[in-house]
Formats: sequence, C-alpha cells, structure tokens
Amino acid sequence: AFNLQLLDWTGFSLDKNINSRLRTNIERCELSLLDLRNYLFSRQGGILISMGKGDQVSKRCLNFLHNTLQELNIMEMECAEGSKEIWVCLCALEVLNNTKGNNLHTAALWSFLREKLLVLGKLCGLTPGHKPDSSQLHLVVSLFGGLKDERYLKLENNQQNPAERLKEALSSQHSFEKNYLDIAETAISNYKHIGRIRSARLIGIELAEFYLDADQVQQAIAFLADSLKTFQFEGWETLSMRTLLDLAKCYKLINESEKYLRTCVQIASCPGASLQDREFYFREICKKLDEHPAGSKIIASADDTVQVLSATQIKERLDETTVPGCKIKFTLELHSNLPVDIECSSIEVSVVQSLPEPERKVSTVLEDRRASRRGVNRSPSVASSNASVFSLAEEEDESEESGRDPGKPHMQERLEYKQDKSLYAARLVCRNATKVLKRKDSSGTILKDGQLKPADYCNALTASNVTLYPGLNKVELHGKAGVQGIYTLSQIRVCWRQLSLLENLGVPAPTFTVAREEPVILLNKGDTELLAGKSNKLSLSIYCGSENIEAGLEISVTCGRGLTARNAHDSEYSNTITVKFPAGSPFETISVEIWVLCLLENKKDANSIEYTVKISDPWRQNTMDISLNFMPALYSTFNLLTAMSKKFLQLKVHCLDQKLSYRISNVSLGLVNEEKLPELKLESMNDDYSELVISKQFEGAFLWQLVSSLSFSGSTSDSSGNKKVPDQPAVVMLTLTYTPEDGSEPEREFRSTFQFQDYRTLYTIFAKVEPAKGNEFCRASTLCPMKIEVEQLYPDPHSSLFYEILADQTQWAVCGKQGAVIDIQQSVKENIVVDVMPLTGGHLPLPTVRLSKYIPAEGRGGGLGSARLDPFSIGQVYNMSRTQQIHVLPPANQGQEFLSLP
Amino acid sequence: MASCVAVIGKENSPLYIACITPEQELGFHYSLHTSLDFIEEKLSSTNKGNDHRDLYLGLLYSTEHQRIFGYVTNTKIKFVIIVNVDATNTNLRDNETRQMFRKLHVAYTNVMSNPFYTPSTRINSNKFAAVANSILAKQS
Repeated sequence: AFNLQLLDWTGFSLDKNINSRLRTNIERCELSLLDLRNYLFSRQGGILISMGKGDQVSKRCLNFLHNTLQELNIMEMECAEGSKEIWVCLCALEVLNNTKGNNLHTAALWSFLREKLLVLGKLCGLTPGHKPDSSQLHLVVSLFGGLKDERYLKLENNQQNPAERLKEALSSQHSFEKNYLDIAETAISNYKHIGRIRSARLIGIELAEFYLDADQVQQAIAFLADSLKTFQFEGWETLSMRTLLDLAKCYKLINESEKYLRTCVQIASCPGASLQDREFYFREICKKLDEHPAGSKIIASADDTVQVLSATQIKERLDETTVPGCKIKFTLELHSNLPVDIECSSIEVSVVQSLPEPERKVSTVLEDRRASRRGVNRSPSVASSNASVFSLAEEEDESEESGRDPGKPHMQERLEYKQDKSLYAARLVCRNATKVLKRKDSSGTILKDGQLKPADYCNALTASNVTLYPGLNKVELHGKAGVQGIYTLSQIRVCWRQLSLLENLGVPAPTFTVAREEPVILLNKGDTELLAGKSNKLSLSIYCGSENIEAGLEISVTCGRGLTARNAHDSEYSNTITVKFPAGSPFETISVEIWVLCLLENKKDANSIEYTVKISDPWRQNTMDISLNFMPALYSTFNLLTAMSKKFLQLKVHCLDQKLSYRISNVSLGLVNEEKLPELKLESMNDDYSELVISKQFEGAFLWQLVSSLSFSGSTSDSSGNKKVPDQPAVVMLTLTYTPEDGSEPEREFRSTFQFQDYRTLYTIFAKVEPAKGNEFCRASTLCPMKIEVEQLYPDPHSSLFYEILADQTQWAVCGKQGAVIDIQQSVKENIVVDVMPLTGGHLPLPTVRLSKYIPAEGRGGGLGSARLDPFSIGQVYNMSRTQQIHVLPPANQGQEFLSLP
Repeated sequence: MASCVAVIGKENSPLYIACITPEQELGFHYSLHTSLDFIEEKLSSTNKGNDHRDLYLGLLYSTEHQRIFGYVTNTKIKFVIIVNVDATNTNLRDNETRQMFRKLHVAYTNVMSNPFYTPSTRINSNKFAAVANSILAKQS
C-alpha cells in the first residue's frame, strides 16, 4: 500500500498525541508514504521545538515539502488533482501556526503556502473573475474528503486549526480572496522584514495580477510601480519592460491619461521592447496627445527617451572668453530612443550658476602663487600620517577651492618626512574627493513619476524647431551669458507637442565660465608724430570690454607741466580737462577727440620732449600715466662766425613737421645782457623780409653782425693793457612768430636764447711759403722759407704765446724749430721765418700754424716740458692762410716721368 | 544539466542570461532577480571577518522545481545557475556545480580580457555563449 494511490492528504500535526496515533498506524502497517513522512517530520519538529529551536522547523519544513513532493513525483504515485497542494498548505499552516514571530525561513514558507493556495484557488474556480462550475465544486468536496479533521486539535479562542482555515479559504470566492490576500501580504511583509525586497516584489507582481483580475486596478498599480522601481534601478530590462506593459494597461483601464502617456513614452523608448510594442505605444502617445488640450503641459522623464551624450561649448577661437551678455553656443549630442522622428518645438538646457567668478584683483597673481606653493604639505613627523591631519588640512584649504571647477579632481602631492628629515612617503591626495566622488543620486529613477521638477529655464540655452531622429542627433543650442561666474548645465527639456521631457544632466555636468572683461582706456595719437608748439589731435577711447557704458561717463585728463589740453568743443587749453563719453555697448570702442598743446621753448635740437598725461580710470580706481613724446615743430641753432676781426652770428630755424610748412615773421635777435656789455651791438644783415616760409627741407637762416665799439686801434697807445677786455659772456635771444602755412593755427611766438663767449679775434696769423731765393717756384726737395706773421688785434693778458708748425710729414719737412715761444708784448706784430722743405710736387696745403697760450711753470725756470699750453677758443685766433695751397714743382734732378701733379 | 545560466554585474544588472527554454525566459528572469536577495544575504554574512571567502556560494535557495546556485567573484560579478529539479537530476553533486561555475568564470575572464569590451555592459561574445550553452546542454 506504500506506493499506491494517494487517498489521504492530511498534513502533519506537531501535536504529540496525534502523532502517537500515526505511530500506531505505522505499527499496524496501515500507512501510506505520506503518513510515514508526516510522522517522521512531526517527530523531528517536536524534538526541535522542545530543544527551543523552533526556527529550524520552518527551514526544514520547506525542504521537507520540496523533497516529499519530488519523491511523490519520482515514485509516480497517483494523486488526485489538488491533493498535493492541500497537503502542502496544511503542513505549512501547521508550522507557521507553531512558530512565533518571523525568521529567515517563515517568509519563504508563507510564499510557498501562497503559491499553492493560488493553484488551489485556480483549480476550484475561486479566483476573481471566475465562477466555480459544478465539476469544480465537486473537486472541492472530494479534496475535503481526503482531509481528516480528527488529526487536528481543536484550538481555543476561536482560532482555526490548519484544516479549518483551509476549508474556510476554499469555501467561497470571497473568503478565498480574503485568505489569499492575507497570506500574500504576510509573505510580503515577512520578506521585507528580512530584507529580501526582490522576493517581496516578485510576490507583488503576482498579487498585482490577482488584483487586476479582481478589478482593483489601483492596488495593482501600486504593486507594479514598486516592482518597476526595483527592476529599473538594477537594470533588469526584460522585467521592467513587462511591468511597464502591465502598468500601461492598468493606466489605460482607469483612464489615467497623464501617467499612461508617461508610461507609453517609456515603453516607446525602451530598447528592450519589441519594435511592434514600441511603435504601438508611440501611436498611443500621438493619439493621447491629440485628445489633450493644446495648451497643457505634461512633464515626463527623458532619462531613457532622449539621452544626452555630450554637451560641448563651441568657441570661435580657442582663447575666446565668454563674457556677460555675449552669445553662447553649445553642441548637444542626443540619442533619441523613440522609434519615430519627433518634431520638437524646442530643446532647452537650463543653466545654473554654481560659483561666482572670483573678483579679479591686482593682487590675485600673488595670491595664486602662494596657493600653489602651499600645495606641497611637508609634515615634520611620521605621526602625521593619521587621517585627522589630512582632514584638518583639507578644511583649511576649503576657501581656496572656490575658484576651481567643482567637477574636476583637485590632486595634490604630499610629502612626508621622518624626524631625521628623510623622505618617509610621497602621496597624491585628492583634496575635493568628497565632492568629486559624491554618490550619484540613485533615487533618480524613483522620481520618474511626474515628480521631476522643471528647472529654471529663463536663462536657458535653446534651440527651436528641431527634429529628433531615432539614434544620434546633434543639436546646436544658443544662449546668452549672464553675469560672470561658473555655470553648470543642469537639466534638459525637450518640448514635443504638449510633452515636456525633462532630464537632469549627470555628474560631472558640463560647465562654462563667464568672465568679465574690463574696459580699457586708450590714448591714440594717430600715425603722425606729435609736434610741440602746435596743437595735436589725440583720440581718447574706451574699449568697453564686457561692460555697458552709459552716456556721460567722465574721465579726467591731467597734463604735466608744459602741456595743456582741451576738449574738441572748447577753445581754451588747460592743465586738467574732463572728457565726457557717449554711450557704449559691450565690445565697442568709443572715442572722444581731445587736443593737446605742448610748449615749445628754447629748443635747440631735434630731440623729442617727453610729457606725462594722467588719466583717471573709473574701473580700477586709479590713474594711469601715459607718456607722450613730442617732436619740436621748430628749433633753432646758433653759430658764431669770424672774418678777421669781424664777428657774425648765424641763426638757423629748422622745421621738423613732415607735412606743413611754417611762416615765420618778426624775426629779431637781441642782446639780453646789454647793460653789462654796452659796447656790443647787433646789426642785422638780413634782408627785410616780412616773412619766411620754412619746411622740413628748407630751414631759415639769419645773420647778424656783432659790432663792438671797442676797437683795438684806440688802445694801441695803451698797450700795457689798462683797459680791461671784457670777457663777460654775451646772451642773445631770438624771437620770432610762426604759424603753419595753411593758417590752421594762430600765430605763436618762438624764443630761444644762446650764450657765447670769446667773441673777439685776438690774433691773426698770416703764413706764406716762398720759393727759395732766385727761384720763381717752389721745388720739391729744396728748402723754402716759410714766413709767419702773427698780429695782435686786442690786448690779451696772455702775451706769451707758443706757436707750432704742424705739417703732414709726407709732404713737408720742417727744418729748424717746429715751435717756439714768442712774446707779443714787445711788438704788436711778430714775424717768424722757418725753413720748410716740400717733399713732393703738386699743390700742397700749407703747414698749419697753431697758436696757444704759453703759461710758464711757476717757481722753476726753463724747459718747455714743465710749461703748460692753453689753446685759444675758436674765433680768438683767425688764421688767414688756412686751407691755402702752394704750387710745388717736382724735384729738379728727377725725370719727367716722376712728375706728379695732383 | 543546468536550465539557466546568468552573469549579473556588480551593480546587480544582468550582463548575460541564457536558458534552455526560451518560453520560460521570463520566469527565469524573476528567479534570477530574486536570487540576488540570497546572494546579498550570503555576502553580507560571510564577508565579516575573513577576507578569503569561497567564491562559490553554493545553493542559494530552492523552490519546488528549481535549485539556484550562486558564485560571486572578488569584483562582485555574480554567476547564477538554475537547475531544474526533476527525475533526471535530483542528486547534483556539489563538485559538478563548482565545475560549471569555474568554467563560467574562466570564460568571463576571457571576455574581460578583450580590450573592446566595456565592463558592466552586456556580454556579446560568441565564445562565452558557447561555454554557457555547453553548461546548459550538458545532460548527465
């Protein structure tokens, strides 16, 4: 009878008395396989419970049930339909009734019980949506027939024993539903309690199905949504796909059109779904959108629909800085998972300012350097390798990090030294590890259901009327930069019909920096030289940078000494002027003309004159110095010329202006210190021009004779020198008025003063080489007398003179004394004869005679060596024979062929 | 022998799933997903204390018709093998399951060695599929 048909499917009881009844059955050999198994397990259970290991019972029970079912299978026992399930339910209920609380294994047992009960319910037509027919009612009766009540104890306090409970559960549709839901909920809560969420979700899925059959769609949705979260979170596409499809059906049933739409979007863009499904649900979306009022907005997650692959800022130049108000361009790489093209009215990316751009100060450079040097922390001892030191250091530097891109790891080197200062360790430390390695928000998927909040899109980067094709799309977004700072792209919004698909951009989000460009003040002089003595046009301009400059901005210009300026509309020059600017928009340059006039005074050479202009800078709160170089428009030079005893003053006026010629008039020269030099007079040698035009190529030259009323002839009688020769320096001043020839400027006066000394000719020298006696011409290699005549024109305190004959040694040989002291005091004239010999023939320049003051050494007599020679100033000695030449014949004894003529 | 072979990534997302009967695939997916509960339980209980745990986790759980075995690499890649319990293989030796997992692990290591494979994406390798299929088809 052991492996015959299964007639009795009563479960085991953990009660001792009932067990002993089974035992008698066994003794009488009236037992079935199930009886034996029941007896063995109940004995085992009884012992475990008495040992206080009640929790072991449920664990072993599950195995026992599995194994016994397997055994029945293997032994191919004939069992009535549902009989095994009845047995499992009874056994499970018995164990669960006898275990207190829940442990790891009760949950599985509850779940198993639920599973079998559902099978029974289906068999007997008790599940919602079905009506038990007569055969099913008959089945219930026959199943109850194999269930022996007497093997269960009657429980007190209205508690049901397993048989009673099972019978009640299978008695009607309503009570089945109640019991099934009760058991299922217990299983779920038990699973949740022990942390087996996924197992609980699996039951939830089946429960949802049950609820759906019972027309309790809301309940089903709750379970499905929970499960969906779990599946999506861990990326189980097939499972989430199925759940999504179920959810979509539910939403459609209860006409939750917004949620239905969102679910449809998810399905349509799920790569795991079949193309048919995706296309079907895409059509559903379109249908639903048609029903929706046109103006309404529906927010859905774009996480799977439109994925952002990359966002890159496009710059015209690599070094282009984004400044407030300028246009920003971004290329967005999007991957559309929808099966069909969609025409988006707009694609926007919201922008969040993450950090204000640190103010650029003058001292920033310095601070930066300090910060980077601080990067290497040298800890003095080994002990510092503990963590607390690190954290301390990190907090300390928190403030420095404000200027960095928050998304990038900030790595620093850290060296550690032992006490003897040898290197102990070198490591790389990420200073902002907590920020960079911040856990990604895993709750993102949970927020999917409409809770995704649209970001602020007023400063967004946008592109309108974009068609998104399935697969990769490139979209160019445009926007305008706000105030300076670091901006992060935070969220994308794809607007398609009434749908707004939102997606938060992942970490690290793309960023861009908006920097401010300071306005720059410039002073331009144009391409011509600035000329002193003439007004010059300068243009003062402001390059607005990123600023908007309002009309009426004032900048003051202060000129250094000798320089004056005026606004274009003023007529008066002054040292300080205030320049008003018109309005300027960013990146524009606004300019205002100003005129500067530089004093031209006493200019005697062409060197430029440097002047400084101070310009106030309203943005940097300081003044800047600009130096300007002015070329003189005019300058004058002075020459003292001598002709015997006559003296002439030559003054030249030069012009440096490249473009203009100047008209000069009223030229006059006057002695400034007339009262000291009453005997001097200036006589103009100039023609009586009313004006003279000079230019770069033509200078104006003027000549005056210096006439001295003190004449030597009058003092010859008194050669002892009672009359003092005045050697006061003379000062003359040239004044003239000038004006540019085109008449663009008023007449201006030019003055320059010159000082000169030694304006008298003291001596004249006359030298002559005569042919040797009896000869008509000088001949080379023959001695010729050179006659020198020195004449004193004015009494001179230095009457002791020294003359020298200097000659080119290839041309002349000086025979006799080359130099000697002469005393001019005895006679006004002194004649010297020296023999010289021309060495070659031709026109030879005469040997030069140089006259110097001879100052004998004091105290010691004699010797030229100890005496001193003082040269005369130019113009004091007039050499009449200078540059004279003499015709010398070739030497007589030489052949004609050696004759050399210059 | 086995009726389903799966590789599950360290973030618990499926990397590879193959099963004997495609019509039952959904059921296997549910079983595999549920098995993660048991794997996590085992990992958290065994990880305390000893660093050198056995990669083979043994039987994770069993249902009336299935036995589910697990194996977790040091990089938290999970291998799960589901064996259908029926008359043909009631007594599956521990050794045999270990053998299957070892084969799978070697095959997975080869996949990882491919420079063109991005870790924690779906495994799309013919060689790996061949090994998985050999485990599935092997009837004792």
